[in-house]
Amino acid sequence: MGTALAADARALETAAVDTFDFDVLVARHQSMVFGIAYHYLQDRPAAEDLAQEVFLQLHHHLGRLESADHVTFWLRRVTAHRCIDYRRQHRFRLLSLDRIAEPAHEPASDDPLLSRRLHALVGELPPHARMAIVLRYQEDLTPDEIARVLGRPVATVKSQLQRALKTLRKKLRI
Amino acid sequence: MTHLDDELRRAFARVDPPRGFAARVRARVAASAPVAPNRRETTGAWTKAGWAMAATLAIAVGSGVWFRAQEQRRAQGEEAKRQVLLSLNIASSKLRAIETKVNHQERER
Amino acid sequence: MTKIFLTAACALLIPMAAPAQTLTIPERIENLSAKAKESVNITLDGPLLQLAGQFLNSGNSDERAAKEIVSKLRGIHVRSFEFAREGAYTDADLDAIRSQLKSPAWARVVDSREDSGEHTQIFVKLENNTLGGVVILSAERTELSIVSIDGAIDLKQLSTLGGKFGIPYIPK
Repeated sequence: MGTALAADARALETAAVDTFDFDVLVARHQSMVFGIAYHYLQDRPAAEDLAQEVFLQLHHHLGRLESADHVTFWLRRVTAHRCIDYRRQHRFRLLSLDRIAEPAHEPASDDPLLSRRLHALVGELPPHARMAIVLRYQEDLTPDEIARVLGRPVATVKSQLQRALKTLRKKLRI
Repeated sequence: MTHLDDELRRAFARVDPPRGFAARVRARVAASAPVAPNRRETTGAWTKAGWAMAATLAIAVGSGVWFRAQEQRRAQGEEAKRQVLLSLNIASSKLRAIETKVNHQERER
Repeated sequence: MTKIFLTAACALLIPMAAPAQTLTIPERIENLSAKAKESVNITLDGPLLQLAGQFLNSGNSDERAAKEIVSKLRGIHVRSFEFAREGAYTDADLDAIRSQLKSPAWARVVDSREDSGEHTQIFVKLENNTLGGVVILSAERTELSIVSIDGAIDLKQLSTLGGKFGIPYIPK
C-alpha cells in the first residue's frame, strides 16, 4: 500500500514537471527551499527573498528539468549555492539569534534553548560545513548526496561533517 | 543515532515560509515574464485592434519593468537600511564599552 | 588593568578651512577578509545613505533617531573581522590606517589598552567647530573592527543607540 501511494505521489510530481505546473512545484518544495535558506542564513527576510529568487529561477529553467528527482536535486543545489554566495557577498556577522523573528510554524522542539544554541553554533561553522550540516539534518542527505549538491569531493564533505559534529559536541560538552 | 543527531534533526527540520509566500513568488514570476507579441496577419495596415493590443502590451511590459524597478529599489533600500543599522550598532557598542571602562576607572580613583 | 587616555577633544583639534580627506581602507585590511571566519563589510556613501534614510521609519522613535544621525552623514565604512586564531593580523596592518589619522584635522581622543590585549582607539575630526567624523579602531586577539563615520556626528547620541531596532547589543 505504501509503495502504491509513493508511486502515485511520484507520478503526480512527474506530471507537475511534465505539464510545468509551477504552482504545484512551489507548494511541494517551498518548505524545503525556505528551510535550507532559513537555517543557513538565520535571517528570515533574507531567507524569503532568496527562496523567491530560487523559484523564479526554477520557472525559467523548468523546460530543462527532466524528472521529479531532477527538480528536487536542482532546487537543493541552487538554494545551497545561492545561500553560500549570499553570505559571501553580504558578509553579515551573525550578532544573535534574538534578531531573528520566530517563524510561523517552527518545528516543535523538546528543548528550545538547545535548539537555539545549536543554530548559533552551526552558524559559526565555515560556509560549506554549515551547509553540509543543514543538508544532512534537514534533508537527511548522505555525504555522497551532499557532495553532489555542493559539487565537492565526498571525502571533503565527510571530513567537514565529522569536524563540525566534533566541534558541536565539544562546545555543548556532550 | 546519537542524541546530538536527534537534536540536530529537530532543530533543523524543514520550515514553512511565511504566509503568502507562494502568491509573492507568482507575482515575481508574472513581473519577470516577457510578454510575447501576438502575430496576426494584416492587410498591410494596423487595425484598430492591433493598435489597442500593442498599447496594452506596452503598458503591461512597461508596468512589469516599473514593478521590477520598484521591487529592486525596495530591496536595495531595505538592504541599505539593514547595513546602516548594523554599522551604527557596531559603532555604538564600541563607544559604550569605552564609556563603561572610563566610568569604572573614574570610580576606582 | 585598563589604561585609558582621554583628551579634551576640542582643545586639541585645529579648525580646518577645508574638510580632511575621508579615510581610505588599505588593501591589506581588505585582504584580511580572506583569513576571517566571519566578516562584515559595509560601505555606504551619499546616495546609499539617502536611500537608507528613506526606509528608516520616522514613526518609530528609535529608527527616527538613526534617521536623524544618518541625515548628516557623508559616508559609513565598517570592516569587522572575526578570526579563528590569534595572529591573523598585526599592528602594522592598523598602522596603515593610523598614518591617515595623523593629519592635524584628526585627534586621538581615546586610547585604551586592556591586559587581555584589547586595544581600542577613537579618533575624531573637527569641521566648522563641530565633530565632522569619527574613526573607531578596536583590536582584540581574534577580532578586529574598524568603523569610520564621515559627517556631522554626535557621539553621545550615537552611543545611546544599539540594543534597539531589534538589533541586540553586540555581546562581549
